[in-house]
Amino acid sequence: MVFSSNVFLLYFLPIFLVCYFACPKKFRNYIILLFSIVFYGYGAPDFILVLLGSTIANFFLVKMMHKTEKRTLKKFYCGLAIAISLGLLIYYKYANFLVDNINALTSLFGCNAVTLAKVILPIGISFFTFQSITYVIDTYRGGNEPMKRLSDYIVYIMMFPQLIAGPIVRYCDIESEIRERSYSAEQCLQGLFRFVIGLSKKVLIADVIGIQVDKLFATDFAVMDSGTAWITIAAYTMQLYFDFAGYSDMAIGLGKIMGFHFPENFDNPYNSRSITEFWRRWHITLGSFMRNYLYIPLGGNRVSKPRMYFNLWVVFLLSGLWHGASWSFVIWGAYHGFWLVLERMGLKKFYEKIGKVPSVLITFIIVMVGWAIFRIEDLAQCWTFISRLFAFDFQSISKIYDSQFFTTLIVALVFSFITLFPFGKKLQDTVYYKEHSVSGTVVAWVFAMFMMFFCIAAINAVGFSPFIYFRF
Amino acid sequence: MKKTIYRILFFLTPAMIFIIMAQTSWHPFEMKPLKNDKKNTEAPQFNFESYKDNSFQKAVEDYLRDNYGFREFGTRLYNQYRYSFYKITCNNFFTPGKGHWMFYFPGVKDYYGLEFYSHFKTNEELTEYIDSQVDMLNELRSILKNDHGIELLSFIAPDKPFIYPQYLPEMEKDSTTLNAAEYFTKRFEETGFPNINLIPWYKEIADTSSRNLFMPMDSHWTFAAVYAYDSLFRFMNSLNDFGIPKMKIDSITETKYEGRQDDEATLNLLFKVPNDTPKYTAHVSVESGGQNRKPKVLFVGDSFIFAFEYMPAKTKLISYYENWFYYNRAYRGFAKKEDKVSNINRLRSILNADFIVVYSVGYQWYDGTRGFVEDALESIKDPQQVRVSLLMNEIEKDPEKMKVIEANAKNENISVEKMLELEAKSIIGSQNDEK
Repeated sequence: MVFSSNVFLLYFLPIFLVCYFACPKKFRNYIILLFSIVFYGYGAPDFILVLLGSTIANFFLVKMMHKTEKRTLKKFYCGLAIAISLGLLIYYKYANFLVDNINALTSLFGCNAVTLAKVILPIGISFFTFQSITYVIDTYRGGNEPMKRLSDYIVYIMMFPQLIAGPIVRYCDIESEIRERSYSAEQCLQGLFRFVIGLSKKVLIADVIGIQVDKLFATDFAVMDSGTAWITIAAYTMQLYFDFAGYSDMAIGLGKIMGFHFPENFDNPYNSRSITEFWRRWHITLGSFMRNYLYIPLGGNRVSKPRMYFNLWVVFLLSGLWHGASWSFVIWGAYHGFWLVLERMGLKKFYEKIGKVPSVLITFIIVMVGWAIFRIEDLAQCWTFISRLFAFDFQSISKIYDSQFFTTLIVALVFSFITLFPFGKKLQDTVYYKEHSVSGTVVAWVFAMFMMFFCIAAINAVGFSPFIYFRF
Repeated sequence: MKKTIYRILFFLTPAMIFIIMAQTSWHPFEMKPLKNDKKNTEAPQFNFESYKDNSFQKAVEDYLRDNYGFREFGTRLYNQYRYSFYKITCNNFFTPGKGHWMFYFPGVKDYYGLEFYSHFKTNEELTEYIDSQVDMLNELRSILKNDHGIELLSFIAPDKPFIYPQYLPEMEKDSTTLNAAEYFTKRFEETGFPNINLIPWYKEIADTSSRNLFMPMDSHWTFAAVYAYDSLFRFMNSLNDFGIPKMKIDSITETKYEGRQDDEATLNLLFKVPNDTPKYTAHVSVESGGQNRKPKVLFVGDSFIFAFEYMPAKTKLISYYENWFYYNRAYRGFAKKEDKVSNINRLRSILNADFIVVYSVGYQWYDGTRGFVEDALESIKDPQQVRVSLLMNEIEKDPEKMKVIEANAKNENISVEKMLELEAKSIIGSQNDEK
């Protein structure tokens, strides 16, 4: 089920809210559990048992790991729990990719191809796998006690707001809230407003831009002029951000309504002055996962410089692969890793010298080129597109676009960069975090209700579009 | 107090959504239906198979898309937003021009030479098609005229984009593509097929008249239709002088346009589009005398003859007419008896006419005669079919015989048309036997 679908907005959400708040506090986790199973089972009936099975297995393995005093056995249980989670991820996400590449390689030596039926990717597997790994490793490291109740653990892994596309919530971040959490009508309203903001980002910005983006990426890149190529990639850059950030806002908002405080996933990423900073602002929970569970265990900053650069690059290579089983994602990860290494080698000092605006602009261009690699799976096509970006032949572009696309793109660009300026930061804080007066809250609620209905009208007038990050 | 207000607000949220749910299921609030609303979805039926392959979920989403509560208001609200802020219409067939003018989009693309109404890819494909249509029309004309004394002619109705290009949205014109109406006109001239192209003449009138020949948000013509019909009848007289009298506009009344214009209504907006253009009503009279016999006319085309159907003066000009709308629906006689074209005896209608007029607005000539000329040629080349149809028309003129046929049809429990056909065939059969 998708947040921007009719079934979710018109049936699932109101019924959940009524059941959740009508229920005594001690049973509310069961309500979350029940609705989360319905949420996932509705859209992916074939995989609900896989998800439940791996979650239950992890729960008991971690329990056994914690119980045993033997270090080797502890290690074994930890390894087994991680292997189950990663094994499922590798099988469902990478099996076809691996077989295709092995076949391509062995065909060079005249070997017969290995056949494997098409494996369908369970929605959200990349997210819930990482979430379960954080639980296993944090418990292994002694950072937290294992959960007592299986139902609580399933709630942690399967909680519907963040089950499918994050944020990747570390167990230690919401451990206490799973057991007991406080509620206030004010917090619920803030959550509702956050949800509506996210829905509007997705429906009124990302989807509107996305219609034109799909058309533009379907054209022949060989004859595309540079202006069109830049508009195409700028539009995709905005679509991706507003789509994913919109989803995260909705997840965080829903969490808030339910009494949870999920970590932020975005912090104006396009205002970054370097790629290093970009990864502290874009998909923050993934960056933090990679740092805590991959980069630091590999040695972090404590190893020799060449080793550190290599580790950094490997982490980003794997981060790219996490996004999808395709060479384009691997290259995208390697591309970002390359810039990070360069920044560590001295590029960052150059950015500091040239000042804020030029460094933000350069970083933004690097990120945009990266999104071209991310989007265009065919590597030859991708190269053609990137070469058009830097061909500097600008022709008339007016006939391609409609005014809604152009206006929305400009609005998206403005909102992406507005926090570079003090008034923009103030505006963002007012909208997202500031407490309002009673009359201000009433006005905001009326506006939120209007926007929600308006988004429903827009979804149904234009047609349904799933979230981009769902496929990861 | 603050907490109570917040609680009320929060719990009002699901309540608001429940109202939408209630409207989805039981429709307690009556909504004004959307114009041209095509709902293709039915309430989905659950079964395990459809749930597993996700087709049930898709069907539910589609069903809700077409039936969610207050959809009519929601759709109008979103359409209004798009129209007011971006001048985009929800209806892909219409595109806004300058100053609240609106155009049928395929017509605009035709004007700018951007595509062949989606029918052809190249000029060659278009010319090949039109050449064959013109050849067939000439062949049909020759048979109708020589064997039956019927005049076949063509009439190209004016296109709004060609008449008022100054209000069109800006686009780049592709002058390398051919235009169907122009190419038809050229081929008609070359082959001597009688044709009247109203586009250049209308353009002249539009440039000098203070009144609009088209409403800003309607594809159809206004009072100016009278000029077109009168020209058509003059042209018909020149081919076969029935002495059809002249039409005359005695006066034109200007009233405020109250409702929504034809095309505007299909936009399903919340508010009426601002429009100062008055509604013109032409008061038409017909010159008396000079008429030999009022002709019977068969029109095969689009909606541009509808304005004629509303004119009280029409009965003074012709004795009978049929309009085969898009060669799909047939409106027959002044009473406008409606039927599907495929259900009627088309050859009988063809042979009953004095004039057959194939016509369309310019861009619709990409569709040629929509299959009419092919069908007509095939049936008219069948002597048996022609003989039966002619005899049926002959019998129909005799009220006494028709009374008997009607009674027999009732007894046999078949249609009068079928009985008439059986009677005609029986007569022809006995004539053959006698020979």
